[in-house]
Amino acid sequence: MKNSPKHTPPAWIRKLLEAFLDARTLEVSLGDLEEKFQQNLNRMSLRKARLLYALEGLGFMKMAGQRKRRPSNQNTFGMYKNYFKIGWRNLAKDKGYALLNIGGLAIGVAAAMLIGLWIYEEASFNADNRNYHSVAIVNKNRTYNGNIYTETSQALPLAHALRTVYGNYFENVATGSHPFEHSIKYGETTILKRGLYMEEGGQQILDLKIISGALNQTRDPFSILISESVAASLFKDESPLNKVVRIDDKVDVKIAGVYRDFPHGSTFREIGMYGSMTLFETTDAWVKNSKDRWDVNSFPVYVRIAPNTTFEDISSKIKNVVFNQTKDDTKPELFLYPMSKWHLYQDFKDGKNIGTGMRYLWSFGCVGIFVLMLACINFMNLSTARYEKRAKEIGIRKAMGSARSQLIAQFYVETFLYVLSAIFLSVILVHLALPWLNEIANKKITALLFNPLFWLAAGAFGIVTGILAGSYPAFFLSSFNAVNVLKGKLLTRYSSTPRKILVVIQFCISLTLIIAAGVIYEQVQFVKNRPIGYEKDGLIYIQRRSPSLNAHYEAFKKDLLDSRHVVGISQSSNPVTESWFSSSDFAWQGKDPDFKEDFVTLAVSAEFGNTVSWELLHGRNFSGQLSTDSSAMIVNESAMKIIGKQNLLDETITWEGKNYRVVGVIKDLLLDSPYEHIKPTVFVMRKMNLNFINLRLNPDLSIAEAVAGVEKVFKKYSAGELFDFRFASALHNLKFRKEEQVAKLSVALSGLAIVISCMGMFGLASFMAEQRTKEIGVRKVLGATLFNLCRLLAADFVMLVMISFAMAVPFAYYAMSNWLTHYEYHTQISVWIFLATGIGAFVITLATVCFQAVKAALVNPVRSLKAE
Amino acid sequence: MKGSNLGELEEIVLLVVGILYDEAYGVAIQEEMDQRCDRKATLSTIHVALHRLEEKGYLESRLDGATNERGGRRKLLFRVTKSGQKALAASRELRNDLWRAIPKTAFSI
Repeated sequence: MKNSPKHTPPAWIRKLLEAFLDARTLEVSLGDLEEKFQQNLNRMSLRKARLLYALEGLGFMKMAGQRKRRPSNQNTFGMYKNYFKIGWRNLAKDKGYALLNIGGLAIGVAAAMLIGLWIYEEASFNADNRNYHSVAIVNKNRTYNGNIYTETSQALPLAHALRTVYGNYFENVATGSHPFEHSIKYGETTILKRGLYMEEGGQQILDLKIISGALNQTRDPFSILISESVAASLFKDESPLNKVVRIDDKVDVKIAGVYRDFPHGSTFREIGMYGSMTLFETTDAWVKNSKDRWDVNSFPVYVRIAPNTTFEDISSKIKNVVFNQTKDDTKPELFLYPMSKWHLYQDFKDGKNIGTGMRYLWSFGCVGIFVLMLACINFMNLSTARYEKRAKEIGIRKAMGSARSQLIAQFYVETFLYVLSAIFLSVILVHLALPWLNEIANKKITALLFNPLFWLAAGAFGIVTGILAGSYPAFFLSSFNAVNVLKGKLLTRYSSTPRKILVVIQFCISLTLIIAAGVIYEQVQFVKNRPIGYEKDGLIYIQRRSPSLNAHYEAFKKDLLDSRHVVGISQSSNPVTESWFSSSDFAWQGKDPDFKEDFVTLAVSAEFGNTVSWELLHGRNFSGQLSTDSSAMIVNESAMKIIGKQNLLDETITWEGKNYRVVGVIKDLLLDSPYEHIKPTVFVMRKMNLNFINLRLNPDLSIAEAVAGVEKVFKKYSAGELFDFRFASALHNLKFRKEEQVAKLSVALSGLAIVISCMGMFGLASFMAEQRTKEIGVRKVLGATLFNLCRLLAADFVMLVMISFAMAVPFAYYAMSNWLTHYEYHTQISVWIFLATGIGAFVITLATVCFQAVKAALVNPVRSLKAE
Repeated sequence: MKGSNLGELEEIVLLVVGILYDEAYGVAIQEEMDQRCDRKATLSTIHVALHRLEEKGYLESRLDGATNERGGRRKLLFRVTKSGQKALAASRELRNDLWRAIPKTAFSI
């Protein structure tokens, strides 16, 4: 009797019982339950009957444990036990071999794991923000001379325009400041910390995790939020709430709340202070003055898009917002640049987002896979070489009636024993190496010992490696014909060919890695040695934050020079290690009307040239005495080339409507990225925005002495302010950090690769020497010298390595020249890298193989011939 | 085999199986217990008891014909074994002995 579907008992009970009960109990219990259910249907409502069914059914879970073990026909336990026992004995019998094999694999796995952790960390950058997928920054593409430049800074009225016209596409739109450093003073303590000023909505966009207090920034614009670490360093154990602090020695604000520090893997990790834009307007007058100006582009605009919208859609909608206002002939086009791309795709080329970070991720991912491959190849080679010695064992096993499947199982169990030990060893290695990796990669990667995903991945990896590495012995060796094997007909002429091919692949990869590391290292050195056009050692600069130093600059300068701690002092609009301002509004006689390239501009005081010690090519420095020098201009070599005149002295150049006379031409100063061409730059003596004081320390004093002297004078003029100075050389070196990291990592990885490969070769050589013991004995008896024997044994390997080298050279050359083209300023790959790698490989091979060869050759032939 | 003594529920189930003779299976035993002893037990409780009795050797079981109201599933029919009968007899004997040992003056019924 089939009931209508509604009159059936709940199916999940049946499924549950099916999962837990044995077949007989299941049939009987379900039968009873069903019968009872049908009876109940006549007595009560369907719902009640179903409920009773469920209760009764659940009761049967009591019987889940009573499942009887079905007696099996075979007891296979002993067989598996035997596999493990034999496997373990084989491992223990030859400890040196086990060490080589397990160690090699463990090193490879550990390297791959570390790279994996690094990639995971990089890929999850910023992911801590709960609005990770909906936050973006508004960027703008502008076209100059046919080149598209991408800018992050916008004008102040933009956010308002976006909110009013396109408001329903966004949850929040908030203009913010760049993350400048600000001094925060409480009582006697002053600290310097990066801070953000943002409009309403900034807290949601940044996803500030408030620990205590709260900030309503519209109602309370003169309150700020600080990070937990700032609170700790300013207030120690006191509660920071409602305390008053002084910012930049300009304005007093109240602490409204404390937020948890941004994680290390965040764009905002250094942000220790958050306040309203109103506060920014109060401290910096130029912000207030820019309120309605579309031509001052100094502010990043952050947005959080509404659900059911996409970045692309909104980008196409808001594209022309700026253009409609300014009618600018650089054709500004807005677009959204999503947070998920900030870290790994941080560069723009021709208006397109390109992923420099992604490129590193890919390269290292590939290298990681290569190193892993090396380790696996090694493992296979050593295993097969070893298993061939056991051919007789296989023959005997087969003769005794082993099925092929049993032999396969035996070999797999042995392989897995090795792989498992290697994985445990590699986990230990990873934990030992993590601090080192964190230091050079500037990361805070934590061990994932308690992360089940990590173990899952390690386990999965073990299984894959085990299956791959075990496949050759398991399937190839078990296929031997027992009769042939026992007769000793196993080793045909080509039996070692696959192994040789693997060795060639292995060395090809490791030599390529070594060449690559060499080229990377060479490039970093090359760029580090790039002439920078000024003297960076002993040059420091101070950013002026407080008004008091401005008013008394001349007195400050005189005091400093008198104190003899510095030999030069000057002011400039930005530090000499950066370029901040640029303009395209230049004109000169004979200028191509289509020419629109930006010139970098610096406002400096007269002594700037002497302070930084730049090199004059033509003309003279600015003079503080000549009043006409207020319209003098000094240009760099690149600017002279672009203008295209041999002698630029006394030429007139018009900038923003004002005429300047060129009084000097200097050698190029390296302001920006050392990997790019130097931009045309002009220097003028303008009194505006001279926010940086450059000091040339007295070379006769030690740096510490000189700095202490400067600080004393500084305190005299700006008592309330933190003496915050920077070394130009340190800032310059910072520009190489990323590349130096890459260089260090690649040297380490290629070193590992060659170590792994050599371990493999060492093992193979020892097996070969062992196999040819008798041959060597006979040769010795017949009068072969030690040298003859070494050559005999080493020749094979040297040949293989040389073939790999020949293969690695073109491959590495192609890849690395391609890599170098990513840098405008790059070295040529020099021949010595290839030569050194080739010779190095040759020497290492000889050393590795000859150790075994000499050992074999020194054995007394009487003993070796007597064996068996 | 652990203790061969009968639990109270086990004893009732064993007796009911005896009453039902050749028709003793889960649902039938449950109904019989309800009607005769006014004792409500879930099917699973009864099955656990049956299982234990079978393990002790007091019951024997066989699978029998499927019916439609059981959704085509077979019944597990039980029958009391010789040793089951002996155990029941021993249990009754024990009780009778105990009853007899009670002094007449102690109980008024």
